[in-house]
Amino acid sequence: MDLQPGLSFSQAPPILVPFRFFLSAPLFGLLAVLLVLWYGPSLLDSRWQPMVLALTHLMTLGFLCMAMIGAMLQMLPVVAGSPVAHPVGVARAVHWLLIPGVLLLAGGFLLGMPLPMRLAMLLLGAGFMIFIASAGLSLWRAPAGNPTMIGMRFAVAGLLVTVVLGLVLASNYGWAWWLTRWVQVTNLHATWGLLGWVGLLVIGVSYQVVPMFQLTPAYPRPMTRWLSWGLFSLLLSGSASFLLSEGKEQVTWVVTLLIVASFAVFSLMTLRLQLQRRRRQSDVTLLFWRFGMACLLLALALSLVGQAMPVWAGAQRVDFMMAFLFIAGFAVSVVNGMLYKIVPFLIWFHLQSLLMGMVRVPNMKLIMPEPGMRRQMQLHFAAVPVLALSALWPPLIYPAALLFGASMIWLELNLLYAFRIYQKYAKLAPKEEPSST
Amino acid sequence: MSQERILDVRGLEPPEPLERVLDAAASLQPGERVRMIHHREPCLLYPLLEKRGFQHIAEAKAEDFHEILIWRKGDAEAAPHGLT
Repeated sequence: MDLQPGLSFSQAPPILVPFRFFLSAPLFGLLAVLLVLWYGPSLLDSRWQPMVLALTHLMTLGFLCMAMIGAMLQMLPVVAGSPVAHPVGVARAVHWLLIPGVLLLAGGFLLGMPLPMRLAMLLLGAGFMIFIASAGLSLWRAPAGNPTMIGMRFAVAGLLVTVVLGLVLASNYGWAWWLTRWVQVTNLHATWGLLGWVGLLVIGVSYQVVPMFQLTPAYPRPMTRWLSWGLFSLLLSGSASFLLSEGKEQVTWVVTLLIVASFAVFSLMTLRLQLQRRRRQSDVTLLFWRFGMACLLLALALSLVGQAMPVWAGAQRVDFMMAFLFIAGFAVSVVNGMLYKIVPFLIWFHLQSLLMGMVRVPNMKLIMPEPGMRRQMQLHFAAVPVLALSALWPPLIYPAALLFGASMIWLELNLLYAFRIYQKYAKLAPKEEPSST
Repeated sequence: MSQERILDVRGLEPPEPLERVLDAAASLQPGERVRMIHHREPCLLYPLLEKRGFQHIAEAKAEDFHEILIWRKGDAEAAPHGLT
């Protein structure tokens, strides 16, 4: 018998490290909604309009990145066994750089003014570089790789590429120089951001959280071993084909097909594993993930339509529908569903640690009550199809925005409710225990 | 002679495995230890045990079969193989 002493994992970072990001995310979602209500159906005239760019970044940086960065800072010590050095300082710096950075970026797009754009570049560039360096160092130092950690490494590399391309594009606005291949660079930036950073992180994290929280069998080993690696290589090949002068279209087609097939395999496998889960009851997280996977499959199908008929008059509508399904339908759903597992779990864990068994820690279902989560989920599930259909009939953007806004407010209230429970119980901690916040 | 309580938490949703094992550990009598059986390694359990004055030793028998022995610090009778 080969008994090994249990690995001594250091204490998870203080609760405010992830929570400051989690609590900010829905507020950016709400800002995105206000912007949609302000501009209305004209938003859908063209994806290149400044207000569409502002909207996209409020959602991708303000909502998705906030939640994903918070979750990663929390997960790195547990999953990779390698905590981020100085988590409190890193979280504070990244958070306080990203908030004004995102606001200035959106403002810069909307006002068409170079100064906010230059400031946004500085703040976002610094914020992301601090995060990439800290998370990268932690992942670099991590012992023997597990699939989640490898997925996270590729995702952070994807974020680096996205940020660099984003800075190049923003400098175009900030200093009014003319980037000749602006459209192609923008497409590369969006591809790396959505597939490289968001997609690869979701895949990597799924390997850990789907079996853990949804009690499913593990993902098949060949998939956990090769998928992240393969997708990252495909993204690199797709980017390299950008440099080709001839045969570019064929290469792009093959790479797109392989990327779509890889994400489809991931999505179908996740749905299949969920059908094999040990606990038959469905919970909110499971439903959010199923919905997210269905939206991902639809977005993938639409990407092939867009690729096959780029000059078709309806291509613009397909682009919008695909973006709505990918960002709001897939990414927001998955992140939202994850928050409903990790937030009550983290609060429970931190209270266990603080209260040392002297006071009974409330059950997770009391920390984040099911009815509140379910109502918010229903709003989100109503918002996404309406939003997707608004690509075909633009006036639908109003009810879509109202539903999505109500969902964001409800999400924020649910998170705040859970956080207040933490604060209430944390006060009962023995005095000698340093505060976890 | 140490006495062992077997606690099989396979198939339970987080944080139920941790809740159950912390309760079991808190009620350990001198000379007793817990043998926890889990379908994954409960990494987050270890700092909680340490703070409460317990020691543990973990063994992965298969990818989805982990055994963790838990006993009170200083309880030589409960500790396996002479560990305290």
